[in-house]
Amino acid sequence: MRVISTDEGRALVEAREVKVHYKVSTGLLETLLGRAKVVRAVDGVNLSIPRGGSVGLVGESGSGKTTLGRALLGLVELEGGSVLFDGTDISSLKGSALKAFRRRTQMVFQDPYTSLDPRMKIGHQVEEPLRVHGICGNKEERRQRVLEMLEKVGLVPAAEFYSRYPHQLSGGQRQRAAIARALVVGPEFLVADEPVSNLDVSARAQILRLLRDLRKEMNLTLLFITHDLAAAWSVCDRIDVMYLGRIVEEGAREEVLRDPLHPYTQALVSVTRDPKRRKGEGPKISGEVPSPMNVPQGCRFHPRCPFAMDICRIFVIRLVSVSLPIDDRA
Amino acid sequence: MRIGYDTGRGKLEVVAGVDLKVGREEILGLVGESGSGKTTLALAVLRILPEWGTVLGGRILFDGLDLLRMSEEEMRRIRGRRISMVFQDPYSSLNPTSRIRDHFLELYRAHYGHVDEKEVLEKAGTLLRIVGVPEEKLHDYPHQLSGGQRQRVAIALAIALKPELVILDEPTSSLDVLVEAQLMELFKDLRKRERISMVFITHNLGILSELADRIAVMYAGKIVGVSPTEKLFADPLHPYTRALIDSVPTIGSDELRTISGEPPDLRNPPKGCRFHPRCPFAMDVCRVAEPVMKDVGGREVACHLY
Ligand SMILES: Nc1ncnc2c1ncn2[C@@H]1O[C@H](COP(=O)(O)OP(=O)(O)OP(=O)(O)O)[C@@H](O)[C@H]1O
Ligand SMILES: Nc1ncnc2c1ncn2[C@@H]1O[C@H](COP(=O)(O)OP(=O)(O)O)[C@@H](O)[C@H]1O
Ligand code: SF4
Ligand SMILES: [Mg+2]
Ligand SMILES: [Mg+2]
Repeated sequence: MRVISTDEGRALVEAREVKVHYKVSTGLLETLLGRAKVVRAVDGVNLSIPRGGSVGLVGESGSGKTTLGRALLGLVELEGGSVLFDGTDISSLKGSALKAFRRRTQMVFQDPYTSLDPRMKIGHQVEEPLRVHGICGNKEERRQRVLEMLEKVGLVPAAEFYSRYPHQLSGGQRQRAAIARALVVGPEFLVADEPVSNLDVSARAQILRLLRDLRKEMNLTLLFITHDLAAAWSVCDRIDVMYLGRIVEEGAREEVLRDPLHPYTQALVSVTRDPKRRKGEGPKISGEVPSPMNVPQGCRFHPRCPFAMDICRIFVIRLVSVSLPIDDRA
Repeated sequence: MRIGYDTGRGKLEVVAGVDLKVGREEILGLVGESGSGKTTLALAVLRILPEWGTVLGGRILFDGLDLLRMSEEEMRRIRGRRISMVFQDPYSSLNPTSRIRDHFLELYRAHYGHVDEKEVLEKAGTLLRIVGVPEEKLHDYPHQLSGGQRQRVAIALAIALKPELVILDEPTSSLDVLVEAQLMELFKDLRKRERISMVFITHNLGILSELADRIAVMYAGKIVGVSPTEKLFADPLHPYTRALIDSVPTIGSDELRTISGEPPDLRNPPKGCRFHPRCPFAMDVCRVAEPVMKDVGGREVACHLY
């Protein structure tokens, strides 16, 4: 196991050998026979985020990013392993400690349509978590807090956006509202699940910048889930690359994104096109992500890997720590 | 070209005076923020706008034919056969209740009447091989295919009748990056092999930098510039194009420029240059006079700076 250690102190969030399996019944007979198939969505993940740190979790669709994010927030049942928040195993939390954990951790989703209620004014939606968590005694105080938050996320004039409905907002503005709703209770840890994937170039840049600024301003610890490596670079200091339920590479953003070691990461980096520069060559990856119901033996990336050797087909690999002399880096 | 939508609350002119040309065997990229009118323009070319959408003016010439003046019957013969389209969501172009093979049979029947089933399936098999889908998937239903495979099938259907022009509306936006990269190779290959012209609609500039011969940039229903791809990225002329390129995050750079503000409400677009409320270079003239398209060193640009 490899634990990130930084000068910023001990981990605020830590996953130890976390496994999340979903049981899916493929038919009546299988269900009756108790032979439901198992989707190994997260299959033994170690991850640690220091307080104030920001980890970019990247990987293709179905690799388990959302499931891992939900596991860190205690929103899914673990098949194995444990999640620690501020040193405490979250499965042991009850009563007021659990409620405090729910306030201290928040999530923002890819599609702000589904996370915002279409029939409710933006102001009231941002206010709701304050009421739920009993923050700010009276109505006027709450309203004031909401207006400040709207301003912070750039929904100005705040008073005007307070009384608008979601359909009166652009995609980027809706995402700002969703961020305001998550941050209004002053969480320490935020999971942002593909918050820019549904946005176009200009709205995307605005939200990335907002997240980067808020992170500093509110001293947030962030798990930023994305499949856009350049977006991850712009808000994160560390990168975790996930493939079929496992982390295949982890490190500082400079190491992972400028000098990737794993063939999968190399492929992802090489297809990240930078319009300002010509693209670099990388390994050509064929095929698509296999189903997590049928995880390949050995290294789970071997069927798509152009460098696959006999050993890759047999032995399960572990994350190893590789350090290169600094001079070797570009 | 001018196209409007009749909304409950008045007419919306979403494509306002657009002039565009696509050459033979050319890939023309069309970029712009969401809502800028890209899809509407594409639907108009194929004459498949929703009933509340109307072409308010302009002409669409295809190989000398004025598409807007053709009868529905003549248009039907052109759609799919000479011009075809691939949509962002392959679900919308595939019928969930029919097998992939039936999609091909139906397409050939619609255009050639009675067809030899065996012959069509043979052709379909070849097409699937070209787009990289295992031939046995012919007998599957769309939901049994992955997202990438569904999009490949949609592409195979779009090129089946050897059209001269294929319009691709964000064909890879819903796909994973590695699958997207595979499809980019496919498009390059198709252009070479099948000599097809393409209009490639996207808001992903990175993709176009690699694929397009020329790029047209659209803002709030208007084309603000058209330029050969190399020149567009090396030295963008229009302030909006420049801002668009600058707002793409880059690995290795902490600079993250943004365009302030939001795209305009098309019910009430800004006077003069539609970009002026967000333009760092806006001058007095920009607020009153609409810039016209000018030729600047082999590029077209509509901006008062030039
Ligand atoms: N509730 C569920 N029941 C069964 N399987 C599920 C469930 N949720 C997710 N899965 C499966 O678990 C795997 C991981 O899913 P997850 O949503 O975590 O992936 P992801 O990396 O977030 O993907 P994306 O990039 O598409 O959001 C996938 O194969 C998915 O189909
Ligand atoms: N079917 C429709 N009915 C009414 N308005 C529409 C319809 N489709 C698009 N619009 C409006 O037309 C404008 C251009 O949309 P669209 O052509 O879809 O742009 P793009 O493809 O560039 O995102 C937007 O303001 C959008 O809201
Ligand atoms: S015409 Fe004026 S406002 Fe419009 S892009 Fe050019 S400089 Fe900016
Ligand atoms: Mg997800
Ligand atoms: Mg569109």
